[in-house]
Amino acid sequence: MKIQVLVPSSEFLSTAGARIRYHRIAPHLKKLGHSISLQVIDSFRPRPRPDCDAVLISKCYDARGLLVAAELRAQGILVGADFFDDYYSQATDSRFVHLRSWLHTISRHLGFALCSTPAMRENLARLAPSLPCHTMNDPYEAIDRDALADRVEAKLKRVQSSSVLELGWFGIGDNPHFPVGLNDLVAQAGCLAGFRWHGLSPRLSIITNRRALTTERLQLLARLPVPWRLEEWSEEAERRLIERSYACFIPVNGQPFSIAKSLNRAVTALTGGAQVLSAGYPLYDVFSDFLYRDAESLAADVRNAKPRLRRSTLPAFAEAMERHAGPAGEVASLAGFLENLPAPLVSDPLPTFAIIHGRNSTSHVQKYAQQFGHLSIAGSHSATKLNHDVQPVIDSVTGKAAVQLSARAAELLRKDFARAARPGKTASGRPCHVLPLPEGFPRPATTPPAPDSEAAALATYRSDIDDIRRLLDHLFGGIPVIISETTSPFGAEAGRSAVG
Amino acid sequence: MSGRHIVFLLNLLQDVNVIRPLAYLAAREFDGGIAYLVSAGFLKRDNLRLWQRELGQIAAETGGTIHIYSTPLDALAMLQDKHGVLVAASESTLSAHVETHDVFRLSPAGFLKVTLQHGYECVGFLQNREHVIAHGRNIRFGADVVCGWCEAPYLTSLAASERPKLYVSGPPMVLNRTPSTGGQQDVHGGLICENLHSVRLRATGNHGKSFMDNFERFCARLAGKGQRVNLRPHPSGQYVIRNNIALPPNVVLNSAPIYKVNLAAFDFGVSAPSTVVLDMVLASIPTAVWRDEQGIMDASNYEGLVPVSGLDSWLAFAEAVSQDREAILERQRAFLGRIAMPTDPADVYGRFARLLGGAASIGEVSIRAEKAPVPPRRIAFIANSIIPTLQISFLKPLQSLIDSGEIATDFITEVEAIERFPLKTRGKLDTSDARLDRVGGWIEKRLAAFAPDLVVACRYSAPGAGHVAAWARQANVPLVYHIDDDLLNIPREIGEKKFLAHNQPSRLAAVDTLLRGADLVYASTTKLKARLRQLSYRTPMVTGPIYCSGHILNRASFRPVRRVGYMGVQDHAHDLAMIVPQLVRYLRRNTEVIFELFGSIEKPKQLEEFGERVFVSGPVQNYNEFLTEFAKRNWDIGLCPLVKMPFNEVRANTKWVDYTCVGAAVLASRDLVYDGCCTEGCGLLLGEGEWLEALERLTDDPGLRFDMVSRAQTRVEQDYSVKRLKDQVLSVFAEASRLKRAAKSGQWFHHPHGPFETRAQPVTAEM
Repeated sequence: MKIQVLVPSSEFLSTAGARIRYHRIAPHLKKLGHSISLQVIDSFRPRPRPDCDAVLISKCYDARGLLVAAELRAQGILVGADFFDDYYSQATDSRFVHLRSWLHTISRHLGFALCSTPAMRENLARLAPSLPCHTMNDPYEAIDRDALADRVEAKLKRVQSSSVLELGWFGIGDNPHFPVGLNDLVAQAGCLAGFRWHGLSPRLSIITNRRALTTERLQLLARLPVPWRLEEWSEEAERRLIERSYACFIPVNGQPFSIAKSLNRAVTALTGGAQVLSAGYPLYDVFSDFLYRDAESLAADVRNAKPRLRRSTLPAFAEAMERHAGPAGEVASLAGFLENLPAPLVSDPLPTFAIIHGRNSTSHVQKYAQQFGHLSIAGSHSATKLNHDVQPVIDSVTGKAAVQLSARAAELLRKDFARAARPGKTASGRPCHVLPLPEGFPRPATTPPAPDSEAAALATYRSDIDDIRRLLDHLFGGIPVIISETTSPFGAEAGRSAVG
Repeated sequence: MSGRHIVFLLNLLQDVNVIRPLAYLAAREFDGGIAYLVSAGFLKRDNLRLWQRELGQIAAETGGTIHIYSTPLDALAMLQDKHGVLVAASESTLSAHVETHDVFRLSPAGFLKVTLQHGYECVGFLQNREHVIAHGRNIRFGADVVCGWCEAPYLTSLAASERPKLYVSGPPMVLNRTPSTGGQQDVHGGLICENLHSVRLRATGNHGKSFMDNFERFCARLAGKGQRVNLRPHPSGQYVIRNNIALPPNVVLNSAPIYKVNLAAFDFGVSAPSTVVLDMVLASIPTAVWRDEQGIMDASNYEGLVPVSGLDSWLAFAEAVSQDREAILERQRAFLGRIAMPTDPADVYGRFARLLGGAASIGEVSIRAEKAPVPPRRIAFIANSIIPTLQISFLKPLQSLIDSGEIATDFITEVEAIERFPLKTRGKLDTSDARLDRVGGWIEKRLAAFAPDLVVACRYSAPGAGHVAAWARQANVPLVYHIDDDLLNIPREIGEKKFLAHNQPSRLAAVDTLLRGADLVYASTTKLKARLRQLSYRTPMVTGPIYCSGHILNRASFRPVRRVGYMGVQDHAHDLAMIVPQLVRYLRRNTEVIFELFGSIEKPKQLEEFGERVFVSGPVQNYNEFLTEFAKRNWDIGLCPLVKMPFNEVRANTKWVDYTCVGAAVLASRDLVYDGCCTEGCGLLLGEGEWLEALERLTDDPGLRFDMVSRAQTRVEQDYSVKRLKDQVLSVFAEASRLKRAAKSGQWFHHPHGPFETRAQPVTAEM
């Protein structure tokens, strides 16, 4: 089986997420005769039929993901999406309307869903109950027991001889929507001060992304109760941090977004030879025998030279790792799941989609859609100036309402309208076909009302989209529609199907 | 460089004026690093590059490093790993101060954050009505301590939440020395200061125009009399310069930094409400405060000073200055008394020194090793020869450890180097680099072969200093440089030959190299350490309470005075010469007394008349043998005259210890190095003309002499014991090792290539 993973950008290819979730399973898939490869969605061509058996859409949260899913499904290819961030279950949070809308739309085209944790799977089971779902834990990279034991012992010796306890915190320090990362660190760091009561001098190294380091967050860090130092995150910096830290501090907060997170930070720290001190939500409970929940126990184990992760506990540790993060097991289970899924039926002919650009769309979506023969439709609220295939306008000479159509759109018109279309030019001088706006459809506004007002746009958003949808139905007769929207609170669609 | 630092934050151009005196104070008073953290906005504002040059000079003279920061994160990258004091001249919740305020918000916990009042009327401290209109009343600070110029009741704008932070320091500008007029442009006439950019002149009307109108008319009237007028733009605003304001032809612009202007040289000063009014008042020149003719602008904080508005009042003031100058100055003194502002420089210096000194020790404990240090096992000593300093400072206190084999030693000396690599080849002096390299290479080989775990360069000033430092760095072995004289400023008084020898550029360079390259400089006295700090050496530096240890060789005995002596080398001839005339009179009067010179010092000609009553015993190189021989002299009185000069101020009190150990009472020069040890009757401290009387007193009263020696010997046993010096030396070694370890672990802990560090790299002092 050939699995193709589609990612949003080339930057994503070098993230910890891509490395942990996909690169780590590649060699194990190969052993089973399968393959996995990653490709940026913009460079992926859904037509002609790509040479793969399953496609996994990862973090492609715009209309390109929707379009690819619909296209591939129509060609009989199994399409899935990987869900590892919970942006969907907070049903009353207006910041995620466009993402909930995306899930709602794409789930119609998906043949399966992949989740990184059981918590995420439970969420998805509620949101898309009919979607076959599989949980693939983030796998560990490798465990060299002897090297691990040596490393742990060397670190223990160093702490015992110097009384200096090197601690590490690593990860993305921020999230655009939730207080996580460094906020969690600061919120839970009180427990680190406890080491001093036990004769240890804690020193904390923090490795994170530069974007997270706003003055406000740095001000929070300044109040940490232990000496600390910052370094910018990189794979190499993270490796060094774990290598030198006696323990990694991994606090987790209890919000839905955080409790659905994968185990990978604890797995990375433990398999790198660092003890783990976790605080807050017990996300890593499955490894409870090998991690600490308080400073006192960790300090006592330093004193007694019996850390939870040590030579004699390694067999049990390896077993637990295999059970919850073993790459071979995870891969076998994934392959079995995929092989048992039915292939979707092939549509013939392949459908052409109309992409309606909502309030905040992007030229990436427009170009991607047009290169495969789909239509780009101007929404009345679109804040981006794009060359659309269908654009309602007011004729500057006659003052009458009209629809400007590209050659591709004119080809697809219902026959009675095709005859009425006349050659014309767009405002920018491009040749087009012009059709009088059929009766019963509202005239387009010469200037959008209150263009900077989100509230005004939201008030008419649904009815405007409905009007365009009706117009498309009238002109093209049942063309399937995809709404392209990238920001909330637009794109809700008020519970109706986004694909007509 | 990690560890204890005083970091000065600079953002507005006028911050340099405020920071400057404290920077020099920090360099004189404190160990640890000095750094200047400069906002990118500062560089942008300084389009004339004047203040960058000033800052560059301050940094060079204080041994500080300059760092530029564009974002708060850049500043943090520089501050992390350090602790101490963070000082800002302009910091508050005002948007204009956001660059410094943000750094205070995120500064590491080991820093005490200090905001200085940067002007007499200053937002958050003492505001006028225009300040309130522009900025409101509730200005707060990110600082832990705010340094105010006046007592609390006079800082009427200090918000309630900030009052507990107040530390009344007085204005730092009084610490600036009055510059001489040398080099300054011709300064006769009055000085008019403009601050037209200021909110004071804008918030309640266009007062700037009114000021300039009066100024121009005033200039025209003075031009009629053939007089010039000096105009000083505000250092940051520089309104007349930036706006290319056409000035009358008899106007001379003065835009030098305020601390480079001799304000006292001007006949009088006029300014709208501004700190420069205080500068001029403190410089004791008649000063008038301008306000608009309608009286809208708030000048109430200057109540008591001479007010001027329209042209007539300007002219009347200029006239009053020539007629009744003293009355105006009296008015100004009364004003200063009323605002409760400390203005005595010594007082203000002490206030800042106490604040910064206390704060600079913050965080020290956390970086110290908790465990007892392991003493070094193998010590390589490097010295010009087996000099007395080496014996006094190390070999004597460590003798027991060396004898028991606990410490192995090796000695690498210039004398030995010269034996191997002669200075002259075929009768010619070999000053080639090749010889120096050979010497350096030989030293490195010796070090590598001995494999020490500590290197001590003792007063070393010979070839190979760079090799020693490089080897120690590369081999990761701590290097201690011990110094007991200001070897960089050896005066001619110690003798022409030695003066020339010590001041050879290569020797000075060697001392400089070791002062910079050692992990720790071990200075003999706190004054020497302070001197080295003044010379901009920022290397970690320690001194101990004692320099020379001693044990009693001859117990004090009650006996008549028969033997008086002076022990020393020829370097001290000028010191002895100071008291020789009095000595002659003493010896003439007391014919039973003999006078002995012990050491390489020659017998002064004036003493020839006493024949064999005055004699010289030659030097003994080995320190133990010297002590044995010295004790045999049985002196009753030992003399420690020192000429008052900078070189002698940093010497150690070795003679007092040696004299006391052999049972001699000590007569010593006052106000130099013996003041401490001679207190409580352990010696007599004398001015230049008091030696004869003191000698007579002790000779006449053997009981007084006996008591003095007894007390001094008790002090030696208590405070100057060999054991105490041994502990001191071992703690110096431990500190050097700790510093080496800290530097190493710092590199390990703090990855040197961390991308967060790239934007706040040090730049050279000359920006």
